[in-house]
Amino acid sequence: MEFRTVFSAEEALETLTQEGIQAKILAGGTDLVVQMKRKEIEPGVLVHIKRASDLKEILSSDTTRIGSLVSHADLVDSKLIQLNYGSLANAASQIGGWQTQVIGTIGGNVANASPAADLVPPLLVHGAIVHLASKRRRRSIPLNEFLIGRRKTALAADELIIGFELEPKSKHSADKYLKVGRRSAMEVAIVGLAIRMTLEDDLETISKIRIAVASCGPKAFLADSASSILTGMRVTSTLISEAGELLLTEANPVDDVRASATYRKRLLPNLLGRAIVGCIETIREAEKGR
Amino acid sequence: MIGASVVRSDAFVKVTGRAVYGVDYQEINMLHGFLLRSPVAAGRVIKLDISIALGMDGVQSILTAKDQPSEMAGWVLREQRLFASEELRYEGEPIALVIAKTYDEAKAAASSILLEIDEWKGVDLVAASTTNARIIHKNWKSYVPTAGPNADYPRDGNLACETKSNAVGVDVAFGQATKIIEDKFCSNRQYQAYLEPKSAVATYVNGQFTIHTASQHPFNVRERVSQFLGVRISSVRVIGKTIGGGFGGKLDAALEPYAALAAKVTGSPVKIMNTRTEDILTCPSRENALITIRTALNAAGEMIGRDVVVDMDNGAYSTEMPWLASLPLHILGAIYEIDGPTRITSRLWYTNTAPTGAFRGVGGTYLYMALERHIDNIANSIGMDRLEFRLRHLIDDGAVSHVGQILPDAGILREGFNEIQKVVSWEETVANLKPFQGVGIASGFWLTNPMPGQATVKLNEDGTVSVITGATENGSGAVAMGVRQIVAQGLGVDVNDVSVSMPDTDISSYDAGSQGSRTTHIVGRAALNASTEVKRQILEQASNLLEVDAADLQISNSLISVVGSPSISVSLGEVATNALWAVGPITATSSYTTPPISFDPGCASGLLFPTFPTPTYHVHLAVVEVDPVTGGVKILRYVVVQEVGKAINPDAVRGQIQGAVAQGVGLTLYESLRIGKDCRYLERTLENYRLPIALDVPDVEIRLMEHPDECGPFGAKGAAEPAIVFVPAAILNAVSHAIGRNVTSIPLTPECVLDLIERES
Amino acid sequence: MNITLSVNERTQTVQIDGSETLLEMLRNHLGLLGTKEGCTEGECGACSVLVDGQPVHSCIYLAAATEGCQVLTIEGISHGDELSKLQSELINGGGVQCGFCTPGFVVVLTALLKKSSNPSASEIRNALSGNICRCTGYTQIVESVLQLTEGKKTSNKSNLMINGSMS
Repeated sequence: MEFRTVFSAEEALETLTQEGIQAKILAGGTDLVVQMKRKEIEPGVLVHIKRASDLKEILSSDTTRIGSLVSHADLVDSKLIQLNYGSLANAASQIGGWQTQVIGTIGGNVANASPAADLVPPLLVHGAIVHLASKRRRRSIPLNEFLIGRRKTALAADELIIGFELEPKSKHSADKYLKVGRRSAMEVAIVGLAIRMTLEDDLETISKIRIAVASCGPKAFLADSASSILTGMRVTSTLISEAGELLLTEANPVDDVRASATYRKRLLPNLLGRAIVGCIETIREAEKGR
Repeated sequence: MIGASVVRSDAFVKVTGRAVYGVDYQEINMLHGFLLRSPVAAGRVIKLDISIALGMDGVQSILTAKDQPSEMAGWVLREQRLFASEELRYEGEPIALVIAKTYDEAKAAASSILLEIDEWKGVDLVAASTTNARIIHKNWKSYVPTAGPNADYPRDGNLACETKSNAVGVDVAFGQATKIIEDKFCSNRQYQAYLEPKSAVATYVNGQFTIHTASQHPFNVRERVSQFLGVRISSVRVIGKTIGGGFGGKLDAALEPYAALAAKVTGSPVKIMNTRTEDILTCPSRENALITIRTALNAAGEMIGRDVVVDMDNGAYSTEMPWLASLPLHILGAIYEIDGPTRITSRLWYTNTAPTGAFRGVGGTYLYMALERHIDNIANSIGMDRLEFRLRHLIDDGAVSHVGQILPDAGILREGFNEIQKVVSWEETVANLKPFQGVGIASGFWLTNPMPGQATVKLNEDGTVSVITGATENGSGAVAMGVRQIVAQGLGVDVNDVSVSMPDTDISSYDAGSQGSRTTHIVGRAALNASTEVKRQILEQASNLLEVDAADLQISNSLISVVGSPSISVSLGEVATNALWAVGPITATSSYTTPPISFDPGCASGLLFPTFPTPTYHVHLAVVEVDPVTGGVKILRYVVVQEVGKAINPDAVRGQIQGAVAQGVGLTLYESLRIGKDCRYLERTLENYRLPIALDVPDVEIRLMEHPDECGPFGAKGAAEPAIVFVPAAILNAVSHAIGRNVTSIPLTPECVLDLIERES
Repeated sequence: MNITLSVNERTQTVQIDGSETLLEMLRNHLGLLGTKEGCTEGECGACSVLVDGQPVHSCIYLAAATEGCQVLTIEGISHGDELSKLQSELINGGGVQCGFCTPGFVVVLTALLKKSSNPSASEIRNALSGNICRCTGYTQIVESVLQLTEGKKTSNKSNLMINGSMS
């Protein structure tokens, strides 16, 4: 197996084009190297991209762009992310432990496409667009379309994730990420749930809401039915229950070594309720603070 | 020295990464071994073809059943050989050993061995104990106990051992009962998960094997290797290395016999190491068990009879489990007095799973869980406060245990309950709990392993002291601190002038290993006795030198001086050197084992482990909070009250209690080692076998009680093992209280909690 | 392939295979046995070292990726017979039992103390999420750090009482 270091996105693309499917991008390696050791993958060429400084920036203008090599620790520490995309910073802080967070990257987490990937639900609720590049072309597609299934993405063999673009934060909005695991850290999510909510000026009516769930299907999904029943409505416990029921119809959990489908279905509706109530509290607290 | 904090003798090397653990040890020109292990839980080998593998790069030799001696080995029962020949009995069972120049070459060759298997349906605990399952050891009748044919015990087919108390009148009591409380409990396995995986390095020269291994019990390894290889035990020398944790999982031989055979066959040193997955699959974990416990109550709510059946999973081979089958008889008929007879049946079953064995606290963890959950349920059924119920029935000084052992100081239990109330007021706590919070309490006794040990104390020419012993430092500090403190105190020298050896079976006398909290009590006693004799010799020599009566001399700060006239003194170094040429080196040796305790041998059949020697008493309390959305359990407070006799090193005792509770928290809430339908483990890596991290473990609040033991060194009883034993009981009682449901399983998963909450109470 | 890096402030040029891990390079090529292998999958933290000041699980970090980097292992933390203050405190505070996890803890805590001079108990525990200790139950490790930074342990220490009096 050949190990090749590149120093820019351009160089990486050059290598990917040359080597084809036997080349794999190595960012932090926290997933890749484990898979290599288990002989789940056996790449011919590892493209060591960690030195490419042009992929490490977080830029905010109207939208926010996060370079694919931004580490989980960078997301946690970024004031911009904490303020505007708190659920993303929170999710990043719950990936593995310190050793994982300093070298793992947002690009790696998404490209690995584990159904339990922690960053995916927050990215989905913030309407993330994935920017891809190859020598042939540049393209941008919604994250939802980029993720195809368990360990399957739309990434072509000669393509590289350049970064992600998130919608700007709205007025009267909040976002939350709730992760269910057994231990306090170092967990692959049993369920990961993110919501992004915007309230009307009355601070009672939901003007916009997105709900995303991980680990309840081959890939994380946006719960459109549950979201639409909540949109334009004042929040009541009955409404939350109904949304919970709808969420269950959209979720497709299976039994795995971490937990059973039954458990995941049991906790989803209440978890949604907890996230919704939490968001509303946060939005109202922020208003009071003005 | 006693009751003080001291620096561990191994502190520097451990904190700088210089300690040589079993996995670090190397010899020149060393070869590497890799085991081909059974991928199925049960079956028959149809074809084993090593020809391709033999021709691969670096391969020196491949050993299979064809190459093994004919002798059978085993700790309690001689039923095992090195390699599976035809029948496969558990996933991970060794089939072949590849020896090559490098580890990678050995591993590559092993995967090139052609193995064809006729896979059978595995027999698990339920199948073995409730059906007419396939007999896993067809030749079970021919197996001979290691202690000799006269030491046989009740066993039959898949029943590896049956221990049963002869109780008269139990059925009558149940017939007369107004109410019968019946509970069924289950407990999964727990993997010791020491951080350092198992390893062994062996060399062979002219009939002598030398094995370097991080074992908790080098003398046991010596015996096992000698059994497997059919040689005298004196042909096997075991040299202990620094151990990266054991907790009972490194008491028996594992890779050592294979490395030894490989060294003989190749004529080179051979090293074998487990990967973490191999270690998880084959470690003798704490056994899984099923317990049914029934108590008959009369109209007044008094307990008038008890009947218990415990089914324990032996795994495919017996290790030391037949001894541990006695545990239910000690625990389930104890602690809370019953006004009537108790019958306890303990059955150990062969299954097609990895052999089980000792993990700190052994079966005590699920036995006390069963007992204490059952007591809570009885109290609740008669509407009595759970603490009050316990205090009403608690045993007292002079209580006689179920096996007829007298517990002269069992009243310490009541003292323990008083102590714990000083830390956490039960009434206040119960009254002020918020929703989904609960409090649980558990109590009991534990033993100090009585088995033999020895220490030699020698005075060096410079006045420092060396202790030579076969005792093993497993991390607790019993050797690296405790034994040194005891000798320092006994002699009147600075503890930093006392060194202690690593175990070497050629040099020291027998030691029964670091288990059952025995090292401080047994080896400390031996070391103290030896020190006393060394002191006598020192004073005798000093009295000659100073021309003063020995009775008028004292040793302090390495000086021997006249009591009352400190200026008249001589140094230990001077005495040592003088003695050397006058009478020979100053040294003494002492052996110790706990004298046998009387019990009633007629009380039970198959009672291989007859008593709980040097008992200690314990009360634990847990306050928990349950998350009703996820079913997660958070421990708000955890309190331990423990009788220790004398805390030789309170910091070290604290470290043992905190560490034991952490393992208990893991057992109760996080660690699952589940057996699948195919009798293979579901959890196979540390990703899925979840060990508690720092954020998961509460700071334990600790109160020690000291009622000095007349035999222990400075009164010390065993302290390191027990705190884990009561943790599942306390936590499950607290959770049951918090959610108002009957929790009956270890581990308690969040799924189980949600499931219970949803059910009718 | 050949790589050149600094290990414990010493330049090393090592011939390695592209698929070798940093842990394998340290133990097998450089003879630095203080960094331990506990699980080979980045779960237990016994293999923790610092790469350019950041803690990593060296068992899942490719050696080739350390070209030009500064690697600090347990061997680089003490100097001769002189221990770091953290190492001394761990010994005094009961933070060392079997010691197999200790190099990993020392390395990560050394990095933590460079980053934060006064971490709280929960910050310390959080920073140690990627390090397993099976012996101590963590309390005395955390207390050792607090003793170092605050000059006092948590109030829990005073909770060890014997027969009603403070130990």
